[in-house]
Amino acid sequence: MAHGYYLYFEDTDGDKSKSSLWVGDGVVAPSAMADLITALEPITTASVYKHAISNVVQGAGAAAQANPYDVRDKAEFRFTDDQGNIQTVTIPAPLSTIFLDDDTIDTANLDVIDFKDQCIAHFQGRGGEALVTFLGGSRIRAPRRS
Amino acid sequence: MPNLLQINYVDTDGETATSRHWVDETVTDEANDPETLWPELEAITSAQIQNADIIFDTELAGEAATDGPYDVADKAVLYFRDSAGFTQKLSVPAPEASIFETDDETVDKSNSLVQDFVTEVLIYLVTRGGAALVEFIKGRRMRKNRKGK
Repeated sequence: MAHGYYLYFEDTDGDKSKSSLWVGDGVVAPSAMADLITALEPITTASVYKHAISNVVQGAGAAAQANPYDVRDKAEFRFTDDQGNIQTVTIPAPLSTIFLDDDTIDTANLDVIDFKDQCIAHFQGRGGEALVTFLGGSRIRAPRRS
Repeated sequence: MPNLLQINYVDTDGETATSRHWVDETVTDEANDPETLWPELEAITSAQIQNADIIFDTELAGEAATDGPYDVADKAVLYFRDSAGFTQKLSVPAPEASIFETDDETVDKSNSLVQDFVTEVLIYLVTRGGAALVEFIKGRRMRKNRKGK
């Protein structure tokens, strides 16, 4: 399968533009595209300030389950980061079993505890801030199925 | 800077959703085992985790933007034929004026800068389905708005 490849441009007015392209299987890092960038820069007056590759990770094996909440409902987990800011992790179609009252995430639930530990281990803030403390969470209610 | 992990879900009705998370800059592809999250994630969602994309970006310290008649709202749209015979297009924002013929619209296929870029495109870029691009057909400027006009 092809990988998404994105080029980001900015002109002298500060206006930005993005081109979405595809590259072959063998390209897994933006650095592999250096020759293309070298050939691109002379034909544009914009600065090519960033490029990105999208690498696909295979999903999990479990099938979707029947549940009161579909993907329009989200569980929002809230954390403090190492700068003292609030960071959120939002998960679609949360299982009803992780809530105390349909709205509040049960912080004593073992699956919640395992997941918040994984969030702290793997996720960051946009600026690279580490997630430090789980504060709790709630369900964001989307329109329900009729 | 962290990389973006986009996890794609589907529920029993076939509806889809994506959650977006920032992950360490060393997590760039499947080799870094981002799927170690899946068991804990599956335990709290009823949706199937279809797959995920890691958007791995790199800042470039290349050439600064320069003034020209065309800004990023203008594109040089380049048309290619792929190995299946279909036409594919690629847009270059803020094209240099010198790559066009005297009509300011048609990309000059004999221009050496255009030829150099086309050579690299044919080496690296493919279609969404993975088909190679095999031939540059033509190019033209798509006018969105001109500076000062």
